[in-house]
Amino acid sequence: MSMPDKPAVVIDNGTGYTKMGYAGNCEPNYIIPTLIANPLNDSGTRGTVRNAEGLGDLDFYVGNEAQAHASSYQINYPIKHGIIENWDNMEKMWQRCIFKMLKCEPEDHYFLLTEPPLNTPENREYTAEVMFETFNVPGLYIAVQAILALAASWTSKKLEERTLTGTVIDSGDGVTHVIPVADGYVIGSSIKHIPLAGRDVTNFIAGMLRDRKEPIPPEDILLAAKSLKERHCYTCPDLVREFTKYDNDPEKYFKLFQGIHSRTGKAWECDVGYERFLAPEIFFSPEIFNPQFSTPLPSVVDKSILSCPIDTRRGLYRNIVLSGGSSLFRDFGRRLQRDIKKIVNTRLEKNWAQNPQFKAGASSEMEVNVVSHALQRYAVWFGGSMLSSTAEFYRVCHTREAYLEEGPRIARHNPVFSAQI
Amino acid sequence: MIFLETGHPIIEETIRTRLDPETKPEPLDITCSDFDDVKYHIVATSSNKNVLSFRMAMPCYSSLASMGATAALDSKYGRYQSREKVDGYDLVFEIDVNESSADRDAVAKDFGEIKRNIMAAPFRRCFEALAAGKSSSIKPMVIPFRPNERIVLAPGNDRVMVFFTFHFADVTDRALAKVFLQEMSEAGRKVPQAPAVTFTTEIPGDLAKVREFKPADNLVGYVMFQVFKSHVEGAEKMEKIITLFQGFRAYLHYHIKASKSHLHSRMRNRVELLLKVLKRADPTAGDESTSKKAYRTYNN
Repeated sequence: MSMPDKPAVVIDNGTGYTKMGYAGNCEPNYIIPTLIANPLNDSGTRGTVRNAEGLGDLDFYVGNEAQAHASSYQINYPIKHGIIENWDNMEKMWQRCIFKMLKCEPEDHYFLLTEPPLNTPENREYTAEVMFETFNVPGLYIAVQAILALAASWTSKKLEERTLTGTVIDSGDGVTHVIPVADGYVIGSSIKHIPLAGRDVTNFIAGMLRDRKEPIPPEDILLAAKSLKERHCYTCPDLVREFTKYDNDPEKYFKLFQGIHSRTGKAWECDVGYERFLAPEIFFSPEIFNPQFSTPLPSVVDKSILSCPIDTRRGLYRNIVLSGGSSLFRDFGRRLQRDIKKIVNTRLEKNWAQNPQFKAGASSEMEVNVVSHALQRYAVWFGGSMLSSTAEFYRVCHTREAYLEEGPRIARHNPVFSAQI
Repeated sequence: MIFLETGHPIIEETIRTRLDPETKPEPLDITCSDFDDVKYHIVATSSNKNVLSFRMAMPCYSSLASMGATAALDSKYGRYQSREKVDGYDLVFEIDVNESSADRDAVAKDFGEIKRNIMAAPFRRCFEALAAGKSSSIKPMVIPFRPNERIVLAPGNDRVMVFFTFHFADVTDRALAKVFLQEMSEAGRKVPQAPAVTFTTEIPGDLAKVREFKPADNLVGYVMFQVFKSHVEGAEKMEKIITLFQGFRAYLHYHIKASKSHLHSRMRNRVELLLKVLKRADPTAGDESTSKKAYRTYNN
């Protein structure tokens, strides 16, 4: 099938944020909170159906506007844990996104939507129903987020190294997932979740600032912690060495952070110290933040890969891909690679010590690679944008004709494709 | 939100941030679409980062050019016009980042509304003549703004008749469009000052007289507005009526899709209610305590 003249539309609906835009761009055109504000009514739950008179069904806001109307409207997050829960609100949200923000006619553009790993086929059917029945899209493809993240990492690699086998570490705002993918198929039983992500890093910093009694207005402390995290935090190779470095030369390492009181407008400033490297450290030594959860990220990754089929493991270690905003700390990838390598090598040597006969036969030592790249923050969206601007995408898309012929069940399966660009 | 905004938010945002002197000049490549088959491409190459090249593809531009669109572009965007030709795009503009950064909000708004301003040209020509009382001197104009759909402007002695033809591929969309337009012409009667609007499925007599117009097959119908002098007097009034006319198709389309969403949410609600009824009728359902109770009464 030839490529149509108009770019495809890529919408990545996440739990916290929705990323959307036209295929071919490097960054999403919009990043808005996945949030909808419906008018309040007496019964409380179903705003739209009760207020069916007149234009009541158009009285709602999405994204940032919804946040602004939070006091007089009823706020709802239609996506919970990556899975769409409230279809009414999701449909309304898509409608607003397409017509108001992207300003496109859905009849003319192919659509690429994303889903979390282990989404149910029924949900895919429902998505297809909404897209084809309400919006009359000409074609639809529902891609798994982890696979798009893998595809996004191709930008940093040579052509022959581009594979759809690898481990994706997706660390967003709410939760961190470790997802092994073999040849484009997610190994569902080996997915691991870690209850630590961006929000926890922010809370950790806020806690440290509070403990130190920094002169920050209490209502601004979370926001301050967030922007401090984005600007100053990094991963260190060794905690003890880092502490001595700071103590020997405080001038060089301690930073000043300035802010403005959101209510009074007065300027304030505070010192930024150890939290610069301690905050990202919660991924590697989680016990400093959450006593209930104490497995460091590198061992979770290692365990996850070890539970995969044995013939895929080499590929999974070789290609560990980072995605999401919380993986952006400087040297995060390098530290992760070092720690995983350490675990793997220790185990290997122990095995060899027990069974020396295998040592001679081992072809090489286990290769561990953690891939960081420039487009990590919106890796999923970018992967979608990249794949949907290839001719291959239009070949695997579910078309409207097929939908009308066979019904929503066509969307249950979305063939994996690896486009050679 | 009943109306769609005229400007294109992606373009406005891109140009505004780019013209901000605090933004680092980096190469840029953004593609986006608009209603009525319009496509934009904003590029800043790495060799020439201080010049934004703004390209626009608009299939009906060639027909609009003779209806005053070229003059409208010259007056408003003349200083940006570029001699460069890019394959696949009808218009190419160049924005110098350093020169335009002072009034970046205005520049961003101008380019965000460029589609509206091009579409406005034929309307403006008719309405200005109407306001001056010389409308009969202008020949009818047919705007092929979409493959199967036309806007026809037919100036008469004391009025300008604006015809829209609509075509929707989907059966449900066609039905909804018909209902919507019928309702609209009904509602129009209750607003005495508004331009008279009629909706017919047969070609109206006044439109049949326009020789340049050939109707496409399978049209939903014809909408006719009659615009009188009182509707276009004063610049503000005229701009408003032009904006509404040029966005009418997108407005209609948006509302068709919104009604469908609304119908679907009512359907879901009804299914939930029916399921509740079904669950009540199921003797095995319910938690343990109620089923025990039922068992007891059975024994008694």
